[in-house]
Amino acid sequence: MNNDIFLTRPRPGHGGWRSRWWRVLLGLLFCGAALRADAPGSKEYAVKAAFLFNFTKFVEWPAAAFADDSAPLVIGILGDDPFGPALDEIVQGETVQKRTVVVRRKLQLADLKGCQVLFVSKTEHARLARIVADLGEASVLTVGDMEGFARHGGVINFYLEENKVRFEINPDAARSKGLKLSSQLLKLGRIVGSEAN
Amino acid sequence: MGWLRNLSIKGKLRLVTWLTSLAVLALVCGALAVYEWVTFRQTMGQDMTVLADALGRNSTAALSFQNEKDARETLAALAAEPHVLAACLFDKDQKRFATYVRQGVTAEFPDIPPAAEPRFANGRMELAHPVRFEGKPVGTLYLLADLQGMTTRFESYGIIVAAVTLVAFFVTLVLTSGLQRLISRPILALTDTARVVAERKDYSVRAPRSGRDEVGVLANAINQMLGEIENRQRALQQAKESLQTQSAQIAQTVEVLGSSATDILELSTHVAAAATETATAVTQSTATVEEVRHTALVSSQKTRHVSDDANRVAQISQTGRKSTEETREGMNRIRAQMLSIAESMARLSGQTQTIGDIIATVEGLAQQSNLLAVNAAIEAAKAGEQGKGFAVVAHEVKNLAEQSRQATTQVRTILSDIQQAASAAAQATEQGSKMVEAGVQQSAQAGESIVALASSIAEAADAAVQVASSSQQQLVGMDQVTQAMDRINQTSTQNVEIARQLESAARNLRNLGQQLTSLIAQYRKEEAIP
Repeated sequence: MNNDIFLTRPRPGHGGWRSRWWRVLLGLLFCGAALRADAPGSKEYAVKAAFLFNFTKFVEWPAAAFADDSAPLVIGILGDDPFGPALDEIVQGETVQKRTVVVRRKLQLADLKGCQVLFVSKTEHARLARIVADLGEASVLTVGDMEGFARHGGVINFYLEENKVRFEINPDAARSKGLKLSSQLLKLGRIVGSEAN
Repeated sequence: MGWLRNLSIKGKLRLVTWLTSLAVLALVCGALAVYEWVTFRQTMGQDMTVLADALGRNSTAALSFQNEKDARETLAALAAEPHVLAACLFDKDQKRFATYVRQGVTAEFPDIPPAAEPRFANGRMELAHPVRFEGKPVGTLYLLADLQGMTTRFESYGIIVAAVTLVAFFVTLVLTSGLQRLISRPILALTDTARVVAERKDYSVRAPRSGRDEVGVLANAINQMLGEIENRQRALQQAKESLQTQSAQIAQTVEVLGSSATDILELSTHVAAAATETATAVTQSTATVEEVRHTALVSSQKTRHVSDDANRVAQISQTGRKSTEETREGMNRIRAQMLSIAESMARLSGQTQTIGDIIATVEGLAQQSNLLAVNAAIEAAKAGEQGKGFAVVAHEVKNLAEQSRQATTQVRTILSDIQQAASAAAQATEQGSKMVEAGVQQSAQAGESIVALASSIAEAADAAVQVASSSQQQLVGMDQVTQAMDRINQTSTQNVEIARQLESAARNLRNLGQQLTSLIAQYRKEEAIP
């Protein structure tokens, strides 16, 4: 199944009466297909949202990562937000490691270090290297769902296997950021090493 | 339960020890079993809960990230716990997430996890433990285990109990063999002693000492008892001996009493005979006196007629001479009889003396008997129960002695009476003799006077008067003699009576003496038996 979804619209004035209705029908079909294609997609991101939240339970941030004891745990989303309200629902009212959890969207590069968890959307694929370099050794758990994310310095990367959401982990990256990952998490994820870029 | 009573001490000891051991073992095993039963489930529940908890913690990530494979691998670790039959991990929507089933086991998982408390059913335990992560439930772990552990444990217990019981059995055998000797030996020793004493009647035997337990105390008590019995036996023996001596003495005394009684009997017979003789003599004397009296009267009459009839003087003087002759003869006879009376009196006196001696003897004997009786009574009292028979005998003896004494007193009184009467009689006899003498003289004179009558009638009247007066005196004398005769007669009659009484008293005494002898013989027979 492709991650990219292409919406096809019927182009006006393309054919005669028959070809027009045929295209409408086709369009509707595609819409339906697209809509259907959307449902699995949203389910996938619901799962990913849950996983994203769950990661916070299996990661230890150094004390310096937080302003103080009462500071919330910030999950930032860089680029397009694929989760929608699902993530907010999951996060609402929850506490992780005695901190409330907050979701921030539409971040600028400057805000990145204020997050503890940063989800890098696929749309930021081009800027990946720069983002990673910018973050450097800041204790931010970088999570993505694009090909090669972990190899290029991201900590956790989602991938799909047999219709199931899985993830791969780059423990070196985590270590360089001062993040401690639970062995259980490491057990579940596919271990990936950093590639020299 | 008779057999229980008849069981030897060894057997009883064994039985007691076995029962005690068994009871203790049973109690201990029972208590342990109950404890095990109660706590096993608790312990097992706890263990399984801990296991479930650990597994749950390890499964939180798998549950969070929906990694069934990882969860299955985690559950597979249960293979190491042989009592866990199956496990099932439910996610937070209570849907089955991962399962584990032991090899060879068939198990059915519930569709939804049951309540959290461990449940025991069909020989299995099931437990549903919530899996929490960061305080929130993320799923449930369901465990199914068997209770084989408990069964195995109980089997082991059973074997141990059986083994221990067997060992206890043998230990008991050994212990009781030793212990029972401690108890039985002194008891058996006591039994032997008792048997020896009973068989040989030897009370000087003593039981061996044996410690200060109850048996030892018993042995001491028995020894004390034997000592007491020995002392009593000795005292009894002594009493018996002294009783025997005294009964011999009494028998002797009784013999003497008997012979004395016999003697008295004889003497009384003699006395009676003498008295009878005396009576006869007296009667004869009285008769003779009567004759004399009569003759004197006749002579008196005749001489009164002398003055009227002088012619018949020669005849009368002849007749008178005859008469005086006769009178003299009569006087002589009287004198002779007086003498014989005197002799009888003397004999009587002598016999009375003898009787007096005998009475004295009897009195002495009676006194002795009394003393002996008293002694015997004392001995009898000392001998207690066994002397009772003898006490009776002594009492009888005492009574007899008393009776004898009384009889002797009576006899003495009678004797003194006799003596008095005899002396009175003797006096009277003497008087009578004197009178007879006088009479004889006067008859002689009368004869001479009558012979001189022929020559002198004139003196005849005076002579006749003289004769008359002398006849008168004769009469008086005769009267006196008659009186004396009467008195003697009375005395003789009394004597006869006395002699009869004496005879009966002597007879009684003899009878009593015989009774006493037979009593004593009986007593001696009784005494001689043991």
